Amino acid sequence: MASLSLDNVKKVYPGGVEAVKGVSLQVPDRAFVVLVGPSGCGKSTLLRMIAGLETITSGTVKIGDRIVNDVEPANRDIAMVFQNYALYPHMKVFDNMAYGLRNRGMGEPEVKRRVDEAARLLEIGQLLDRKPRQLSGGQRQRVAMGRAIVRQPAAFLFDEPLSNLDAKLRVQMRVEIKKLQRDIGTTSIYVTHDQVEAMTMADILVVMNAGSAEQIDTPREIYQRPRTTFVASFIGSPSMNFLPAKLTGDGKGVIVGGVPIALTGGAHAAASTITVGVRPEEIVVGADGATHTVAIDVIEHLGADTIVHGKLVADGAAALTVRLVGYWPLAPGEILPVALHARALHLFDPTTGQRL
Amino acid sequence: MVERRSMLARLVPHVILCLGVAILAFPVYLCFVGSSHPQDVISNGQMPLVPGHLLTESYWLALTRGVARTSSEPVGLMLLNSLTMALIIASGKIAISIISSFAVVYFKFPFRMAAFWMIFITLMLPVEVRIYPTYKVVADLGMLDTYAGLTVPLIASATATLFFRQFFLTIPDELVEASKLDGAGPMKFFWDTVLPLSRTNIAALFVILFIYGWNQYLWPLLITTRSDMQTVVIGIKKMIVTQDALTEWNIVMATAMLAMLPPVAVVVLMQRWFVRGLVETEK
Amino acid sequence: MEKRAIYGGLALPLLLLTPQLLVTLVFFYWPASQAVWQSFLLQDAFGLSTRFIGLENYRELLSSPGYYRTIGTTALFSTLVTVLSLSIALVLAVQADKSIRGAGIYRTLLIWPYAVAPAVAGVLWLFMFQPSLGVLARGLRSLGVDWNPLLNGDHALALVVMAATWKQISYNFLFFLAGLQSIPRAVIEAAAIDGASPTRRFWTITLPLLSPTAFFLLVVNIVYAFFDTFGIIDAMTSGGPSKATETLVYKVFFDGRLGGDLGGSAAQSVILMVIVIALTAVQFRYIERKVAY
Repeated sequence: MASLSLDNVKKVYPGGVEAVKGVSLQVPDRAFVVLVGPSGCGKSTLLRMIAGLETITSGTVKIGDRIVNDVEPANRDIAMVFQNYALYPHMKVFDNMAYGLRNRGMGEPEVKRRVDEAARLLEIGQLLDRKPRQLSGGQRQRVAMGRAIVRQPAAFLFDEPLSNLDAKLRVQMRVEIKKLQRDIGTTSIYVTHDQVEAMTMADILVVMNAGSAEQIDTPREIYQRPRTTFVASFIGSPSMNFLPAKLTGDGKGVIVGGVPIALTGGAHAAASTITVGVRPEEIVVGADGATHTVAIDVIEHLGADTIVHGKLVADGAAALTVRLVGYWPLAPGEILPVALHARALHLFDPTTGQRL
Repeated sequence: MVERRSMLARLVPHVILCLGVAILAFPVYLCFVGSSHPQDVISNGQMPLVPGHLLTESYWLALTRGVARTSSEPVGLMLLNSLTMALIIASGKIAISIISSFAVVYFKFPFRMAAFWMIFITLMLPVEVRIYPTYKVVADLGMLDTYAGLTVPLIASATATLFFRQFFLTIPDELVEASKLDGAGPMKFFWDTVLPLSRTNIAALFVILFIYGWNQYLWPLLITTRSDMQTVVIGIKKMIVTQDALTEWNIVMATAMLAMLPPVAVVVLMQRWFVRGLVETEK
Repeated sequence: MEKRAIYGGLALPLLLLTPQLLVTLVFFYWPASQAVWQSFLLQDAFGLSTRFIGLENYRELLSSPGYYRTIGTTALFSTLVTVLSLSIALVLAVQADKSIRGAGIYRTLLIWPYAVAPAVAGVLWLFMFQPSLGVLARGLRSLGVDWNPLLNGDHALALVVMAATWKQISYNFLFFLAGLQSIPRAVIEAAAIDGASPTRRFWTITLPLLSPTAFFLLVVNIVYAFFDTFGIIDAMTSGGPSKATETLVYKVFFDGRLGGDLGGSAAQSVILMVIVIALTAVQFRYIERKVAY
């Protein structure tokens, strides 16, 4: 077990495509770090550079105290769980898990001890004599985990390990992986495009976009104080609403849809145009204290929640999504009174997308 | 099909197919019949259309003696030569093709594409277009009338190399990566993973190549002068003499049956692999 | 298409390639280049002296009526074998495709001739049509046909065409059947709902969808008729009577061995090489198109 650190790691492919544009990241021992972002953001490339499966164009990767830039994958003391599991189809489950240990010259009694131990942990003891094709998706997932666990590596690397599973199994495995990691305590780096996985599993969440880490923080901090409009829109479902707005003359309030709202924090640059973000679940509905009205276009009843898609009744008629708890008997065309509270507003620079 | 069809309409395909089967089988049936009658009955043009009584005798004679002329070898020996040649060609082609595909697919090195094209272009150089110069090379190397001369020049295979390359490209990249993480080098990956995964492909290719090897004609015709190096496919042609009366047709037909049996048996018994090999190598 | 994860190094891959490359160099490239070189040379009858004569061998070849006759024979032979074996195989494959349960059994009963050596196939057909003792030759005689492939060139050609076709039906059948079975049933059913009769469906839906297979088989069959029928011809007619069944490949073999005309034989080889390259190029374009689908 070890800490892990990346220092300004870059990946430039021959031909000049910059896949990773200089990422620095400190991972303390035993931490669970999740790299999240849309496809093509460089998260998998970054993980594969840590694994040694991609060369590092510049910067350094350290596992423990050792710089591993030029160390073969086999000698980096890491184990990886692949998206398609990459189990050896012709080997039994036991041999799949034992292969890496045997290649390192470990004695058979110790190999057996470790495999049995991992099998017990993952509850796959009865599957050890089967071939991968005789297993269900969830069982293969466990075997892939087992293959990583038996190695007792300094770090686990997960490359979208749950995306081949159906929704129900995914939820179950998500919880299990998190629990397992906490019990074993191995430093883990986990790549996903699923924000729910990201939010629920991470100790440290890295939101990536176009080859850069947009924000590295705890999930809570990322949800509550997203540093950019990208992070704000990527995390949270339905996505955060963005409304064009203007700061008041004294810089202590903001005018949204023609209605001034007093800000609680310090003053901003007076009278400038900004973007205001507000999460659908933080919009308060009701005639009391309403600041705006929304003309309803579409209503989605999710059972526990009702999602309302509409337009702000104001100049510009910006689109607004509102999330309401419970079943709301609404109809398209109705006008919904809503309140935008100052504490729910996130202010962003409209050109750079940076939080103000 | 989509419509409900009458009894008659459903019968027609079967009639046509049975006719097809009969036409394809008829020459072999006659061959079988021919191998069971005495030479003089056949030579007189009196052969009946049902098998006669000399079956075991013809085959025994063919296997142990061949035709009666002095230069002739027993068919047993020819079959052994054919078998040896077919096995060496099939396994040799598979062995050298699988390792060259592995090199071309899994390694990055300066001459990779050059090597690939060099193998690929041999598709355009069948033995028929370079008969005598190739013969001369084999002669200069002292390989006439040897198994090496019969097989080695046929062992390069663009088809097999392309076939394995195609298959290797379908092996997920993650398997190499997992192997790397598990501490296996390239050759260990080849032995522990690539080779076991290729088993069914090797079987499919083996069936095709065995038939290819067994049925070789032009090459052994050039390379073998000694009659004890003859393969059965060459030998049978030499059993037919121009003066028809002298041809021992019963022995020739028994030999033909014996020459057909191994490759046909392989196709029928290993049909699944045969079909796969045939279809896949054409991709 | 390329692997994402590959190994480095130079010695190991080269070592792995050595056997294959060595064989191709020694037995393919060197002889092929020799063939090209020899086609510019004149060798005397005893092989004692050679002289560079440029394109003289080609000029002689292309001005000899015999060569054109062989080209004609080859064209006729290849066309007949290709058309006959493709159409018979297509008929059989369409019937087998209809019989859903029987298709597998019929396949087994129809594919085995592929495994018969061309020379052996030749011997089988010779036995049936041998003028004095063949069972079918007797039949033809009794019908009043003066059947004699040993003397009549047309009869001889018909005989080799039959044997060559017989052997090739299996291969074509197999690919046609696979092609037919890969046509989605829903397309046929949609056509039926659109009111197309079974015959119309065959011509307007099945056949167009089968055309890539047919085109591929066309090239394969031409290559087969050119090159792989050597054994059939040598076993049945040895190119005779009076060269009536002599194809281009057979002529290369015959002129080089018995005629001793190595330069002329080499020039013929080079022309054949050009034909193979052209056919391969055509086939390759087809493969590319298939990939683009």
